[in-house]
Amino acid sequence: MVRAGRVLLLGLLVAAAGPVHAQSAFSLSGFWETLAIGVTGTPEPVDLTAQFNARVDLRWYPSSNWEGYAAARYLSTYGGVVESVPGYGDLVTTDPGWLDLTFPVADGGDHVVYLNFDRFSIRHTNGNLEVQAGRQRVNWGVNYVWNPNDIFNASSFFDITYIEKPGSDALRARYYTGSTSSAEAAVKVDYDDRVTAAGMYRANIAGYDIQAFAGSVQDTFAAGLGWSGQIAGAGFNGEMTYYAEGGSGIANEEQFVAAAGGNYTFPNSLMITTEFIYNSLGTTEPVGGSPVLGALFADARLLTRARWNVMGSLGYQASPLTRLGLASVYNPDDQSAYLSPQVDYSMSNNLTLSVAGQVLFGDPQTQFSSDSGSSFFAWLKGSF
Amino acid sequence: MSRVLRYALIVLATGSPLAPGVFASAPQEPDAREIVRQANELARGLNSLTTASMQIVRPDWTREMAMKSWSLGTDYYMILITAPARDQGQVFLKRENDMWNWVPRVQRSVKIPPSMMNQSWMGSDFTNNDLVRIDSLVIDYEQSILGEETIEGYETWQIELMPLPEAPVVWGRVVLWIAKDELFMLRAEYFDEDGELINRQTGSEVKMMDDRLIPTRLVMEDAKKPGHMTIMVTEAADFSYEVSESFFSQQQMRNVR
Repeated sequence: MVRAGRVLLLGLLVAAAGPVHAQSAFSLSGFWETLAIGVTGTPEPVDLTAQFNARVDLRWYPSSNWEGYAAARYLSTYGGVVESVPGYGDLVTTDPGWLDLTFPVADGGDHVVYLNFDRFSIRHTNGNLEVQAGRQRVNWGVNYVWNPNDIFNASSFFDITYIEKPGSDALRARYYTGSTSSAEAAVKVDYDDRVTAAGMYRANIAGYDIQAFAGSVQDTFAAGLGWSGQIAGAGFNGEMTYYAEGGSGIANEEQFVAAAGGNYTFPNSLMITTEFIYNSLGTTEPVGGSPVLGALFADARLLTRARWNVMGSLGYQASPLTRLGLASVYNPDDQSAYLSPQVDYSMSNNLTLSVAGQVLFGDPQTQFSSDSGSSFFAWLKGSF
Repeated sequence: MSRVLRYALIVLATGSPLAPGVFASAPQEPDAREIVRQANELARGLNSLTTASMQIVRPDWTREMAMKSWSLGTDYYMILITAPARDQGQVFLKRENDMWNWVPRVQRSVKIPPSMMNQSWMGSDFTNNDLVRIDSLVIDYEQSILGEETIEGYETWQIELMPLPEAPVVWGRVVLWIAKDELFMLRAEYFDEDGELINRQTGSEVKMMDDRLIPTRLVMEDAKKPGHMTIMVTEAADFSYEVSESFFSQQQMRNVR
């Protein structure tokens, strides 16, 4: 009930803040998708899950200085994972935020249906200053795969069907000090009332976007650095974050997480991306556990449980309608690997058919153990 | 993302209209290079706000996209994708040598490295040089007057462009038809190093856009594959749009609509 009260409070704030002017405007966009997921290698030969999902992004501009933004996700899941993962319904309908913006619709033996708002905020702009309150994506990451700087709303690379990524319940102020530089401060509270508060400065120096931050993450000091630039035409980016000892987070030891990588696009549109991550608290022993299950409550301190992971990917526009992708992640210590091919085909201006796989190669108890089963996805997505 | 980027660059390079074209030198002694320079300048404009649409046509299908773009000289521009729905809201910002892509769904801006800007467009109706080196036709070639021809009622100069020895271009020869009085390009033919015609570009539907007459419909056809073409249409253009360098900022990138 307390969390319901918070939602109401934010709603009242929106109502009070946005006096409706004559130029009040709305914009609506989103998509629907039907998704089939098959998992092999589990006790069943193939464990099949069906989903019908929809997303609606609603933006409201009561005046030129105000913007309201709400994004609703409707997710209905049938069979497969609902039956094979005990407590799946409770798991996915538990909102990780300070606000409870996840609403179960139905939870039967073989199906779970729920509504989740991953954006729900109001923003005020006054010249160079922007202030935003509510559920929002405080995106501090710069890398393609692993984002140690994304301390507010970490996400998982393996969650390939949720590209919008989660938001966090935060109050944020950003002041633009120039065309390509800004200072930002944000405070977030999670479901357990733990606070993350930090300030970041960004600037473009000699063709490099540089960012540095410091603050408190779940009651311990954290500081980080990130960059994005280029070397001889190739993109070169990286992020690192240091956590002091203590705190209420998932680890209370001193920790250093760094990830960096590069990308290069050849004239024939073949794009190569590489990245690695180092986690000082990660293990060099076999890691165990499925990477896909780690996606639900992602944490910037637990982007990988291994000491090292390396990633390589290829992307190729085979024709104007067809895009091919192949991503792989390797754990050099337990010698397990993840391979994810994907094909996207544009069926019409607003309709895309995608097929993807997440294939694991590893001994029992390794990070990408074959025992966890491989997953195959097919989905049809209509945008509006 | 890269597909959208390439579309955006194409419209910027060829679709957005230009600065006032005044034929400064004496018409009796035409300077081919100056004509090409002015036509090129006319085709891009200094301060401009334009809305344009693009259609990729193949024998079996077509795909469409639409955008709004702001420009200040050659160093600053911003492009907002308005269609299709999947890419709607994406913004490309260029400031001198830096370029960013804002993806609103993920609330993320990505810095675009040069190799990503240098790729050829997958439909091959355009090359990377067409897109990135906007003034390539002026600086990478030696221009000479080949003759005169009347096209759709417009008297044009037919100008031949041969690449300079070290120029980073893919064409072996380019021929342009530029209207003598109006200085807009009505036709262009692109040949490979063996002298074979690869692409043919045609401008039509000359209309008054803001303060000037320009061809509002550009068709780039693949000369070897019938039915393969890209059509760009300028829907609206404002050449008196007041815009300063400070408009092309990361704050604006996240807020234009």
